[in-house]
Amino acid sequence: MDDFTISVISNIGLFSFVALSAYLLLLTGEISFGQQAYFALGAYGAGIATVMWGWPLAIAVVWAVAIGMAAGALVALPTVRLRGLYYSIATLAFAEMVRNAFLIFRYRREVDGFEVGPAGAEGFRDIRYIYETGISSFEYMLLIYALLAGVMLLFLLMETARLGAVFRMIGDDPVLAEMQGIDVTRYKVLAAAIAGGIAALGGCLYAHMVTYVEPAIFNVMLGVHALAYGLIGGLGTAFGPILGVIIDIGVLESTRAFSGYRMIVFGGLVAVILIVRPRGLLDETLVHRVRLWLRPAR
Amino acid sequence: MRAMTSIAMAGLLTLAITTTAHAQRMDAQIDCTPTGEAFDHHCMIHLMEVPDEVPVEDAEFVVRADMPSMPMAHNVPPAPAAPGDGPGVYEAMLELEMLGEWALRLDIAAPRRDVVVVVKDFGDHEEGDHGNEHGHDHDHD
Repeated sequence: MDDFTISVISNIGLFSFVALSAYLLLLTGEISFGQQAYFALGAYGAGIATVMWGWPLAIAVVWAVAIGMAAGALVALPTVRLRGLYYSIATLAFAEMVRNAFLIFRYRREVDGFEVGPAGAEGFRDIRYIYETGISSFEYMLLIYALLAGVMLLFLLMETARLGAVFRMIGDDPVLAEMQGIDVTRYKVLAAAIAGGIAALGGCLYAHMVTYVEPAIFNVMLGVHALAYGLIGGLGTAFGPILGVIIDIGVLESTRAFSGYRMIVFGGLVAVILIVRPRGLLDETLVHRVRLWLRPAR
Repeated sequence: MRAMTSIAMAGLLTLAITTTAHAQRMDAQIDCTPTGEAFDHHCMIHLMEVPDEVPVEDAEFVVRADMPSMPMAHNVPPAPAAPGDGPGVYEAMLELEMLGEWALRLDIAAPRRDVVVVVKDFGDHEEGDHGNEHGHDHDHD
């Protein structure tokens, strides 16, 4: 497999984490413009762990997920009662707070004769774990997809379990869900924590692939794209946001069919799909039909 | 679902690798000039060892480009670097998608595996100007 293909496939995988993170919140009826904040926390947290504390990547991954989940839950506690636009603005404000905090965050120390660590606006360099351990680009791509498969497995299990039904019920009508005896606040905090953990996992993998992160990476563009992928791919299944990523990164971008006009085409595509199929390409109706079709005849 | 479980297990095994740090690192200075065709730039790369600044010869690497303001959204084909004139000098042709700040990542395979990141501002410049003379070059690896 050539370098370009590996790079495109890896990017699709990495973007899928943050898209799945936004998708989970969409299921509970919340539009978050702030999932890039957890992506950033995962990137910096795991980077610091491997570069400055000498932790192996496996522990750094767990650490990043823990940071993302904790941050997601902490942000959810005060914002869980907000609805619609107010929730979206609160998440965006949190993401900007995080990005601006990293602009002034300096934590430097000498490791192997080189000063390393986050240096504010200069970014965080030397996240060289995969180079120092001899993991090739192809192997790292496999690692990204292995962890993505793990996350997808959790989503598929969740969607067939009570938890998935509860999330969708809350998304459809939180008042009705509350009347059914569901603790909406608790489940929304849980969804936000899981979503934060998934985005942080993506951030951890991203930082170790590119070896360099800076606050500008975690701007609102990342959050908007993550949200758009779920909306165009569809909210009927966790494969929806991944389809959204494949359409944008895999088809529009990598084929360079529209060159510099791609962002305009992508924006238009989002608008058209939202009009024609408000719940995305793989919406609940289509997914239900496919499930019926796949079910063995009795 | 079984396939996904197998892939996830393989990934966990890869994660278990522990780190072994190298004391030597490489560094680079990159000077880019627009070719006049779309957003293509011809780049001269000075590759050296740090901290002694000895030029790195017979290096094999590709230059990857990503926009920090739009991470993962641009997939510029990695540009292979070819030896240029002088010790430690290499040339590469970058096919960027737009002007702006790009993080150039030198993915080095030989003489040993290493990575160098240089952030360059490919600003809107007059013909003959160099990419790094406009805007700023960040500190590099």
